[in-house]
Amino acid sequence: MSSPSAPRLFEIRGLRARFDGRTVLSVDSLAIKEGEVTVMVGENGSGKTTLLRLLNGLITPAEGSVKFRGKPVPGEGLVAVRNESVLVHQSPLLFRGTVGLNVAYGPRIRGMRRAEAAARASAALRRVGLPGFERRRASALSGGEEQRVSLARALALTPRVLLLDEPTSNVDEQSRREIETIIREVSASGTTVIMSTHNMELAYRLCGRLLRLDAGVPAEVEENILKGRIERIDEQFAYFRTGDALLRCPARQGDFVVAVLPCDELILSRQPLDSSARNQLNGIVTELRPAGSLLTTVIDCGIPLKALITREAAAEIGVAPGAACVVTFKASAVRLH
Amino acid sequence: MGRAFELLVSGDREVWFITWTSLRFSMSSALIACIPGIPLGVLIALRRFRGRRVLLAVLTSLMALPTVVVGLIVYSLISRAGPLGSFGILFTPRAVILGQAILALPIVVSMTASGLSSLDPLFPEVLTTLGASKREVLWMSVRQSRGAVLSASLASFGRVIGEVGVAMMLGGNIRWYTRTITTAIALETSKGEFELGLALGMVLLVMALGVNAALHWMVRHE
Repeated sequence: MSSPSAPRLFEIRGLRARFDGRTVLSVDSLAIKEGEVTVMVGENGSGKTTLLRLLNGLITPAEGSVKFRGKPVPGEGLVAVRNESVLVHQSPLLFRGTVGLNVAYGPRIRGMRRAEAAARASAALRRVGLPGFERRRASALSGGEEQRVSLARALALTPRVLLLDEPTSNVDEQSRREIETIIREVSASGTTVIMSTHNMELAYRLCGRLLRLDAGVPAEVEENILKGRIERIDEQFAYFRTGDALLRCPARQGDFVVAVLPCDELILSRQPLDSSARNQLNGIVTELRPAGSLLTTVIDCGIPLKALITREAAAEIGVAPGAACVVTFKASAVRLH
Repeated sequence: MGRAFELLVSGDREVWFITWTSLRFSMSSALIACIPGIPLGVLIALRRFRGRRVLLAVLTSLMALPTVVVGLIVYSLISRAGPLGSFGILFTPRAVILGQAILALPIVVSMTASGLSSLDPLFPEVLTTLGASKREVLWMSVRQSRGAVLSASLASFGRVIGEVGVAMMLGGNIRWYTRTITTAIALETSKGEFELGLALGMVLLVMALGVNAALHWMVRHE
């Protein structure tokens, strides 16, 4: 854990990236904390890959700055960013030759001895579930294996920051699960992970923080993403424990780690409602901020919940910081992932 | 026909000398073309600069350079009255090799460049993020497309071994000196003596097919 005064791992200010004169990314301010898993989602061409390349110092911003540990990238911070982080591109792009040669390439090119690099490569291959693949030809792998080898090629560098561009885009469901587990383990070992994906399931399950990019601009995520676990299941409901709250959700079997609750599914009231909605939580309003024509309200119900309400409703039921209120939502509004 | 085979299997000295001359000229000129040609092709493929497309288009059209035109230009340069006449290389092996190298160069450059452009545009970036320097990126790109580079050299060899214009105009078809398979065939046929022509034709055919087969094999195994 870094102290609050220490520079953030990545800090972005007034960033603009252009291709052929077209602005493809426009981020006014963004900070990424060390140790966190940040997942970027958004349409194709929303700037996810561009942001990852900028963070790794592979391209130069048209305007603004990316700072890594307080130093600009590209620039003074480039050496540090190159030493500590590595980007895994969407397509695996393995070199000709053996898997071992591919995975040991990073350590080798950075001056590590052959034997040591080979040991690193073997360890990285074990980590991605491909032990003993060193002598296989890179051209003879399946899509899922290629993706994992390219992940291992990055892990062999034991990076402190792992940047992943759509790590599961070309793989089947089985490989997707395996890659999710690998990312989880990498993160648990203290590595900061910044990744992009189209797979919302993966995004919800892995993210410490979800970043939505909309045409190159960060957009508010209008969902509550609640980490936790299923406590019990009866015929009607699955009971999902998140922080101090227990949510009733549609009864479903599965290894769920996150409950997603859209902000516009929450009803705020002064008194408990006599309704069919099966979740009612008491809370205190902690924050109120405009979101377009609506208001985003944060209510502390043992867990912070975000709700979208109209200004009129806020005035009528007296939603203001410090006010007590009841949050109501249907069990079916909660999606488990 | 029978006589042609006889010439081949009996190991007729002249047949094999001519074959060796052809091989020597073609290998030398292809090699000489590769020395500047491969690095040039690599640079054109990896660098982005103004006029790159035009340059590639020009190189591609130069691949079809008529051999007699090259022969003519080089002839006018190295003939006794030409600017390079003092070297006295006209009608020597050097003249043929020079002319054939000029024929081979656009093939080497253009095929190397197009071979390397089939590398994923992100390939250099993958190397960079793993820690490679600019020079290492260049080197790995060549290694990654070594098949294309090899086919480029082989194709240039194939082009020059079968050409007759340069060999005839700059070599002069001098017996036991600059007579190559192609010039010999042209001469023997015009004299009405088909045996030697046929024998040499078969050798040439085998070599041309061999080069082609090698190219195909390489393309398939890349």
